[in-house]
Amino acid sequence: MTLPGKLIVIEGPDHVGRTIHARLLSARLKAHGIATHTIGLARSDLMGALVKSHTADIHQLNWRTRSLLYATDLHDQIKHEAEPLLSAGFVVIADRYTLTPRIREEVRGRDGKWITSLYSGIPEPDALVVLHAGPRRLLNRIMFGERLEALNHFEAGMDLALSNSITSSFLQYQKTLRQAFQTEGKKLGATLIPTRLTVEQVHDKIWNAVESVVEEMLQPITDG
Amino acid sequence: MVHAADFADRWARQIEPVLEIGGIVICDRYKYTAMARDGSRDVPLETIEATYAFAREPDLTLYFDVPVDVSFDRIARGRPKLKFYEAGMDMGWTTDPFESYRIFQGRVSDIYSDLVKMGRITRLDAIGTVSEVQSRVREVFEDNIDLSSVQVIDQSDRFAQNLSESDIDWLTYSGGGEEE
Repeated sequence: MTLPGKLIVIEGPDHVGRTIHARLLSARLKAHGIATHTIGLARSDLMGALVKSHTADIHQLNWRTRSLLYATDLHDQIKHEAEPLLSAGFVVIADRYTLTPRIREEVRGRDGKWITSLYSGIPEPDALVVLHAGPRRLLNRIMFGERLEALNHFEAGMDLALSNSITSSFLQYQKTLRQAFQTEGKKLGATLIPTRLTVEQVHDKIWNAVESVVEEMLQPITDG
Repeated sequence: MVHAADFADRWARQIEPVLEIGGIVICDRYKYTAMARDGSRDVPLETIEATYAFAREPDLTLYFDVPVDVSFDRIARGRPKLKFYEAGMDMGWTTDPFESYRIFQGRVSDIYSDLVKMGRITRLDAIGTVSEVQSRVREVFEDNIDLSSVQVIDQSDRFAQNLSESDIDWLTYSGGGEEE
């Protein structure tokens, strides 16, 4: 089924800059007169609050159970938000889609094909962007963000027992994740963009990647 | 043990990661405080060293040294009563909190002095005004720390996430320029 709207997916690890770039892309599209809507992990009416408030518990669950919870969350957003809006001609931006929940499990040796099967029949992205950055850069963003943060065990991949040091574990885990995002992203025809560049330069690259997809929808920007 | 548990959490989740990314971590107290306080309570220093073995030696440790009378005056001026553990009352040396404080601080001072002799910490004269002490701190810092060897990731990167969509005027936007 071809829908008149467009689905743009931005993937990548925590702190890579997905959310700000989803916001900037949405703002630029709106300036061009395009209606946009953003979806993402743990944002559904059905599951979002539950997943967010029980993140630590969810990471303790059996991986199939966890994968099914994330899939339920995304399906709810697709059914009630993405598909109706794509039918109405919106550009839907997904701040994470199916790659993140699959890669997180695959790097832990779990069955990625089974996870992919949970998402069969959902709209294919019209454009897929994978943002990536080096582990030290991500660590820098965590530790020197708006407030002094502390590393948490999950984002450091401590469950993989890569190292007894949470810092060393984080660096190794994020390196593995980055490689997986790049490998899987390439297979899916994604545009891979490093976020070591300035926000504007990264935005330009994202814009270049999606412009052809939305070209016919763009209206001139006016100061009215 | 409880202090060490608290410190171990900070070490793993805040201190070590910041050192990894070329940050400067300033610790207001470190394992030497445990050595001084617990050592004054007759806990063997080897036991304390072993408990804190995960915490590396700092690049620079400043020991702010003032005579017991001065520290006593500074505390007494701020509040009428000494805290129980701060005065070392748990050791039962005397029933007079002020006398106990002097005994306790004397022992603390002896341990710090030994650490100074071993070259593990640097004594800094902390008598005087804040600005006088600060200028001494800066002098010692500059003599001991070479910032040119620190590999820092550009600071703008840290704050990019704070950028708001309204910070860009799309009408006049002409791109972010070429990569360097």
